[in-house]
This record gives sequence, C-alpha cells and structure tokens, in this order.
Amino acid sequence: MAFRVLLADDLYFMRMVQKEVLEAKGFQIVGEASTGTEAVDMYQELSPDIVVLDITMPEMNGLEAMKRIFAFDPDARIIICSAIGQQNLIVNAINSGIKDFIVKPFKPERLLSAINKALKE
Amino acid sequence: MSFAGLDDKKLLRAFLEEAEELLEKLNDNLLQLEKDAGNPDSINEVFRLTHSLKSESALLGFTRLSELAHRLEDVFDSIRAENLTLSRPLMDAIFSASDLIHEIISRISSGQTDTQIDTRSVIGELKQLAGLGLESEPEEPVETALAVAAASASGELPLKAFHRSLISEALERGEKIYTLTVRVAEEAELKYPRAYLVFNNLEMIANVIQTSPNMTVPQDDRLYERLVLLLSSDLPEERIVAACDVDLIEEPDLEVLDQKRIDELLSRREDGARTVVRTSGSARIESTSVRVDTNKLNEIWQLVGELTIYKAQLSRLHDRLSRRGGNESMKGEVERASDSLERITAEMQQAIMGTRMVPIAVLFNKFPRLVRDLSRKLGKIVELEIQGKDTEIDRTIVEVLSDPLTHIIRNSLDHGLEEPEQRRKANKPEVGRISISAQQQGGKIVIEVADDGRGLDVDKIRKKAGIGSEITDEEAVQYIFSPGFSTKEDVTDLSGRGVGMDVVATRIREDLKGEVEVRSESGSGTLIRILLPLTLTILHSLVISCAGYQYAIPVQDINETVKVTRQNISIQGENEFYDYEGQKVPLLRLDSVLLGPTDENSRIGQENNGVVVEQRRGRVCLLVDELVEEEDLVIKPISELLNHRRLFSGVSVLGDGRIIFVLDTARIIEIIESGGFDGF
Repeated sequence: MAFRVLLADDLYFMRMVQKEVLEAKGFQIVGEASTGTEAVDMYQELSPDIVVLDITMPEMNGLEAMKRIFAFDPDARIIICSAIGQQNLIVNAINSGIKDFIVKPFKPERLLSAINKALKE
Repeated sequence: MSFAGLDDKKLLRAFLEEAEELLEKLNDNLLQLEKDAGNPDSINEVFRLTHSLKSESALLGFTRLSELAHRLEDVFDSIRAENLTLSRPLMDAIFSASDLIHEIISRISSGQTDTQIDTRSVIGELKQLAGLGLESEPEEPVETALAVAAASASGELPLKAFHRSLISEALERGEKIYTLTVRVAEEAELKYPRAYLVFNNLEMIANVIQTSPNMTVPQDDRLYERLVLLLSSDLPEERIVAACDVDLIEEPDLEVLDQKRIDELLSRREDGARTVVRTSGSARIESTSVRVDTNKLNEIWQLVGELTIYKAQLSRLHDRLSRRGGNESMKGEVERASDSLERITAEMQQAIMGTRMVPIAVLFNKFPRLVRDLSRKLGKIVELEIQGKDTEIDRTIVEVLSDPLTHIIRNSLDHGLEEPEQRRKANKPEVGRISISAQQQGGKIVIEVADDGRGLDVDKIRKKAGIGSEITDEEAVQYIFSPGFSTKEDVTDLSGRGVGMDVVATRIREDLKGEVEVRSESGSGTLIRILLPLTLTILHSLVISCAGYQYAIPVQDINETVKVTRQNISIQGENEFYDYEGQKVPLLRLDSVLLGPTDENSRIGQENNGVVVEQRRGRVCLLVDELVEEEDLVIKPISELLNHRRLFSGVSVLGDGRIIFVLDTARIIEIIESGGFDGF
C-alpha cells in the first residue's frame, strides 16, 4: 500500500514540485496545507504516515504546527523544510522529535531519501 | 499570545513573580561564580534557573527571552560537562545576557512584549565566546583531533572526571562502552544540524558520554563533517548503527572498547580548571508588583483573623444592647459600626485571600512535559488532558501538592498505563489517556487524576494488606493509602524513588488537611481523587455547646443538623443508631467522648440536637446540647499536650475571647469505624 503523505507549504509551486516527485515514486499525497493551522487540522483528520512541513508559513509557522501535531500524536513522522539561515530552528525541531530536515532549495533525491529513511523505522 | 483559554493575565502575573525571584537567584549565583568560577553548585543552579526561564517564557510566547535563556542554558550545560571553562570575556557576555533578561522582563511587566528587544548581538557574543572557550583549551585542540584520523577514535575525546564517572557507572550497570564515528556527507549544506540529528537519535537510545566536536554549543559548521561519540549502552550494536541511518550520513564506524581501552580512558590525566573574576551590578526590575515574604503575608492574615474576632464581639454587644432596650440612637450607631466593620473585614479577608491564591496552572503546566518525557522513556503512547487550569488555590497548598501530584501522575504512567502492545491485545486504543482536572466544589478543591490503564490489582492488595472477603473491592483498594503499605519491591526507577502512595496520602491528609481516595476498575483504569480545603487558615465553622463547653465543627464536614428523638433512634447491642435518610448512622454522645461517660449523658430528652458529619470513611451523628452559631474561625495549630487523643484539628478564639477547640471529625469517624469508642 502506498504511504500517505501530507504536504504543508505556503507556496503552491513548492507543493506542486514535491507532489510530482513523490507521486512519481508511488507515494499518495493525501492533503496539501498552505498554513500551519491547516496542517494541524489536516493531520488530525487524515492521520498521514508522514508530513513534510515548511518552517515559514503564514497564520501559524511550521514549528508551532509541529508542536501541535506532536501534542496530538507524539509518534508523528515529520520532516521539516528549512532555509539555510534557520540552523537554530532546526536544532529545536530535532529536539522536539522530527525525523529529518531538508534544506531549500533541495534536489528531488533529498526529499525522497529523507522520506524513505524516516518511514523505515 | 493566548494560552488555551486560560486567564492570561493571571498566568503572566505568576510568571513575572517567579521570574523576579529567579533573576535574583541568577544574579546571586553569577556573582558567586565570579569569585569561584568552578563552584559546581552555582553552575548547576544557573543551569537550572536558565532552563526554567527558557521553558516558562516559551510557554507564554516570549520567544526572544526564551531563546536568550536557552543560549545561557547551553553555555552552562557545557560548563557543567566541563567542556567549557568560564573565561573572563565569557563571564562578561553572560552578565550582559543576564542584564538583557532583566530588561526584557521589566518590559514585559510594564505590559510590552519582548519583540522590540534585539537579542542578536548578545547571543552572538555568547556563542562566539562559548566556542572560543573551547578552542582555547590546549588539551583538546579540535583541528589536531580531526587530523589524527588514524588514531583510535576514543583518543580524540576530551574526558574529565565527570565523564570518567559516567563510564564507571555505565560499567557497573553492565553496559558496554562504544566509540562511534559518524561522517556527514560533503554535500550536506548544514552539517551541524545533521550531526545533531544523529546525536539526538543516539541520545534517545543510548547514553552519550562525550562528543567531539561539542554538540551542545555549535561551532564552525565545517567542523561537523566528522563526529566522534563516546557511548554506553546495553543495546545490540545494530540498534546503535540503525540510529545513524539518516539521509546524508555515511555508514558509521562502531567500536566496542575492551577493558584495556577503558582503563586507558579512565586513567587519562585531566586538566585543572581556571578561575576568573569579574564585578558587576545588574538592573533592578521596576514593576507594579512587589514581592512580599509569605511570612509577612501570613502575619497580616492572622491580624485580619483577629479583626474578625472583634467584629463578632461587636455584633454580640449590639445584640445585647438591642435586647436591653433604651438608647435607640446609640443602638443604631453601634449597629451601623458593626455592619461596616463586618463588611470591611469580609472584604479584607477576600483581598488577602486573593494574594494567597494562584491559578493551579502554575502546577499543571509542568505535566505535559513530564508526561511526554516519561512516556517516551517508557515506550508508551499517552494523551494528556488537562482541565480546570484556572482554578485558584492557596499558594502554600500548591507548594506542598506539587510532589504528591507529580508522583501520582508518574505512577499512572509507569504502573497504570499498559504498553501499546498489551493495550492492543486488551482491545483498547493504543494511545493511553491520562486526564488531570481541578475544580472548586463548595469550600473544597477537587483534583482528579484518571487513567485508562490496567487498574489496580485488588487481589495483590488484599494479600499484602492481609484483608479478607468481608471488605469490598472498593474499600480494599483504599489500602494503598495506608501507612506503610508500599514496600521496597514496588520501587522502580521511575515512580519508585522510595515513595509510595501511602506517603502521598499522608502528605495530603496531614500536611494539607485533605482527603484522597481511589477508584479502580480492573482492566479499565484508575481514578485518584484529592479533596483539598481552599485555604488552610480560615474555616467556616458551626459552634456547638456540649456539657457546658463550646466546640467548633467545620461546616464543610457537616451533612445536616437534625433533631434526635426517641422515635428516630434504634439500639443494637450497646450501640445506638440514628435513623438518617433510611440509613442507620452511629449516634455518638459527644460529651461522653470528650469528658468520659457519666449517668447524666445517657438520657435522651424529647428533642435533642444532632449534627450529622460525613467523611470518606463514613458518617456519624454527634449528639450535642446546643447549636450556637456559625463563624469564620482562624485556625491555629493545637499543642500535642492538649490533644493526646487527636480529637481536635486545631484551636481558635471566639468573639468573646474564649478559646474553642475544632473537632477533627475524620478522626472521630475513624475511631468509631474501628470500634474505638466503647458503647458509643
């Protein structure tokens, strides 16, 4: 059965790229959130196998969304998308329990490899 | 930032009050460290203080403050692990950080947020110096360490006494000692966070004793191409290697250290600490709140208490005057004065009571983190629900309650909730639930901790307590609260620590004048209910007279006052019972209990006054002479000498200056239930 992925990024373009890369490898995109609030709601509704969460999002940022998702499901598999200057935020997210992080801009294989390794556990 | 519907202002006030105290301690300890840079107590204390400040400010959404505190915490974590020495410039930077924290908090207390304050330069300085501090230690030159790739990995690790003791302890626990070398792929853009991801994964499953480079205080990103870790663990090697299976991390090298290598590590010479000195003052916080010594507050509280005595005296005087007739204008004046005094003292009591009350959130807010950390450690999945955070409770009660409540929650997690596997087998959802709630019910605070775990093992409790089938399951489980019930066998690493539920109960019953009870259903969960008085010092009481003396009964213990006649009592053997709502309640002649049996007290007239009191263990109807009045009594502790049978819970002074004893109804019921009063 295909793994179910939730994508959360405020940029439609970003989600589209991720979606294409993942669907080509047989993943099922079950939801696309454009704000942190949406990401949290969709997570609770859809219980996906993994979430790709962008740090910078309107309404509620990715880190806050991450915290709420973990509060709802401590075993959530979350991969954070970050920019190069967000080293401290990444470390905080690691402490909270994210599986991995990818640094933008990234090559498709980074996303795939991070997701595959995170799902292996 | 809003916090789950809670009264933000109250939470903020509690935070500011605590922050002020915390900053004072922080300053004291930093000054201490100036004189004695290696002082481990001060280092630990500063670490602890910055850690609390970090979490609390993060909770309230003060992210800048939280980050600043976090950086300080990291620095002191490194110092604590002896990875970093307090140099003079570092000490300077720490003081500027502490001054900035003062400034931020004083802004917050004047109603602003922390967003206008720039923390970057101070944080930058702190980071740089913390990094520099490391590099300046000649014993562990990082570049050299990286160059000597051929040498055994463990040789690179800077080891201090602290690490050596960690190694010895691990060996005593029967764990193996490993060195692990991890390489971050060259194309990884952020090497430190990537190395940190592996480090964090390893910390979850093993004990990381030391790393090179340092992981707590980030240094130049390029240094993290290669990370060497010293670990102890009892897990198989493949589990450790699996923790490194992360994108952009190459296949790691894991080496088990043999005795010879361990001996080498343990005997390596250590370098001495350096001392630095600095003088500094620090900013004071100007805010609308003042911190007052609780003792002073208690003093005012007692004084208001005495005022209520005179208030009562004045109203008696007024009653006497009005009965006597005569000067009407004077009577009116006394009446008005008496009314005003009554109103003012009541308001004063309320106001001072307010200073003692804090939202129970200050206590409850610790639990999400506790539950999260523990459930991870135990491999359990837990959902925590908290209700009634804004319930107000006496500050002194909160202080005493913290430990027992924490213990109850630990117990639920450790013993109550099953592992996910077991839950699945039992047809329960994998996610266990713990709910904590607080609410005010009348004059009491009710706190409940419930879990949907396996419930208590009644048979085991019966066996251990030596009780038979004459006692219902419901009553049998209460034995977990009996003194001396817990034994060493029950002590686990987590919730044990030598404290059992009996100790929890003693603390709640004796120190808090509260009640604790448990309900449990095998297979479906346990509920622990704690009943606490709102405050420990004022009790609304019913004054009764009995054989010429007056006594007080706390109104919260009273079910009802009744008329006892020959028609509604029955006799069984030597004992009399009052027929209360179709139930036979033991009838107790208070005078015979307090003064000893006499012929006088065996007579029951046409109609006698009875007070039905109720406690967890049961009910009793106290036969008294007269119901005098209701009064707010300021309760003071009673001397052991006057209370050798422990029938009284305290002593107070009445409006007319007479001393009055407060009956301990729980104790009286306990004695009756255990057949203590002969022919009550």
